[in-house]
Amino acid sequence: MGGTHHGGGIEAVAAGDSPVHRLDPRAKIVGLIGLVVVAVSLPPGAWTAFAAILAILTGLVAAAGLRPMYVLRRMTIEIPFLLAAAMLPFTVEDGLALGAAVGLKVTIGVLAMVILSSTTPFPRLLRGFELLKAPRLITVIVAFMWRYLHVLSDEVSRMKRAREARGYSAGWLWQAASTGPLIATLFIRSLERGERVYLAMTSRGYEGSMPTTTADRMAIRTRDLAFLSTFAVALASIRIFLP
Amino acid sequence: MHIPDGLVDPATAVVTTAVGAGLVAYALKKSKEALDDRRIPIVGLMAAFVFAAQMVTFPIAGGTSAHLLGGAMAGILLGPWLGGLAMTVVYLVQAIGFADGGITALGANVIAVGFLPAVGGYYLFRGLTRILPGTRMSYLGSVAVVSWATTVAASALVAVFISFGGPLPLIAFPIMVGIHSIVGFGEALISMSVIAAVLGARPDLIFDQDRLPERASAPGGEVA
Repeated sequence: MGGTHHGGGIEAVAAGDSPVHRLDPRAKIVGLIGLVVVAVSLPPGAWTAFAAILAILTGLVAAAGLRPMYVLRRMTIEIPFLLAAAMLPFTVEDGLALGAAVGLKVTIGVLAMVILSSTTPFPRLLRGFELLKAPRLITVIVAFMWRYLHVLSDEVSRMKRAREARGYSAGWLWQAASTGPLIATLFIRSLERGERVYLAMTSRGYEGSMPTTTADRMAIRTRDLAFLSTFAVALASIRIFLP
Repeated sequence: MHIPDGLVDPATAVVTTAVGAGLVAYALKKSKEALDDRRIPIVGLMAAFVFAAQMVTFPIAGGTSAHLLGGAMAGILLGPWLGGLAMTVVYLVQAIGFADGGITALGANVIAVGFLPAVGGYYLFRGLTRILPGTRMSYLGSVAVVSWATTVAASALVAVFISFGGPLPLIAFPIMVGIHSIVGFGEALISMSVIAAVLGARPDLIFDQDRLPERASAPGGEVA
């Protein structure tokens, strides 16, 4: 049972263009995290409020031009948790309302983050967090992690090819037996490749953050302020008036 | 084993977010004091590695999903606080970039499956290697024991968060712990393979140089 939900062409979708894609990453980060916080704070029974929040998210999906099938596929990650919520009516008192609320909160959290990551390319997302004053050591580790994920996946396909060229065929049990050494080799090889890359970077003047180009220079524009203030007013009224 | 939004109560979310932020702040302070610049790529690689390993998930009937954790391995290789930071980064990127694990449950995830295995695992490892003889076998045996134990402990804490601190019934506890006492064996095998390989090829990268088995610290030590 290999879940491959982490892949799936997110970067291609995020590189698209729409009014939501064009918003400043900071506006989207603050707005969508705020929305999730409001949703999580709602009590079971606040169905109008949940519906309003889902309507906002659906509107964003439409405005961003995300394909429904793509969004649904990325949301399959929540299925195990929906199953857990579905068990609540049979196990606890007032479980039906509680289970529905849990299911809605999980769905809202997942959908909000799917929208954020599908409308913001990863480097811009990271830059947004840097500008929001996230601790530098954290953003540096994130940046390196992102690079290494690509190094790792390249290294895996090279090693797979090498194994197959030597007569290896992937059956489940055989695979299990050679997984440990494969992972260990992968670790050492990526590490040494990574160290070389890092030395190359520092010798070219890298000092802890990537230079910004005009392409990723960011400025809060009127539309970002409009988006954020609309969001703030909507969320505040949902939280105050609807439950 | 990532808690999503909604599976911890608002009060639990507030407390775990505050405690998680405190742990991250402390880890940043400790790491900045001691961080050699050249270790940054290794931290990034460790995070990428754990991230990739966590991609392979097994859904659990009781609600959440099981996968390799990597926290103990991160703690042993990078030290407790840098290891904890690497794990924090993994959960941050999974939550924001992949909707895997809730943003309001990030604190709970960072505590239970980040710092608990990295910091707890590191100190358990220190303890075990202190009392056991300094051989390669007991070194790797300790890695295995610590990996298994931290996987089970982390799943227990997650279960506490989602049942006592969340809406799920207490049955979640035995389900989570039961499943992870099996997942823990996979965790132990993978951690052992990786640390054995690092011990053979690059023992200089392991955080605690004073606990290396005798042969590995000698130049030209045995290659795994």
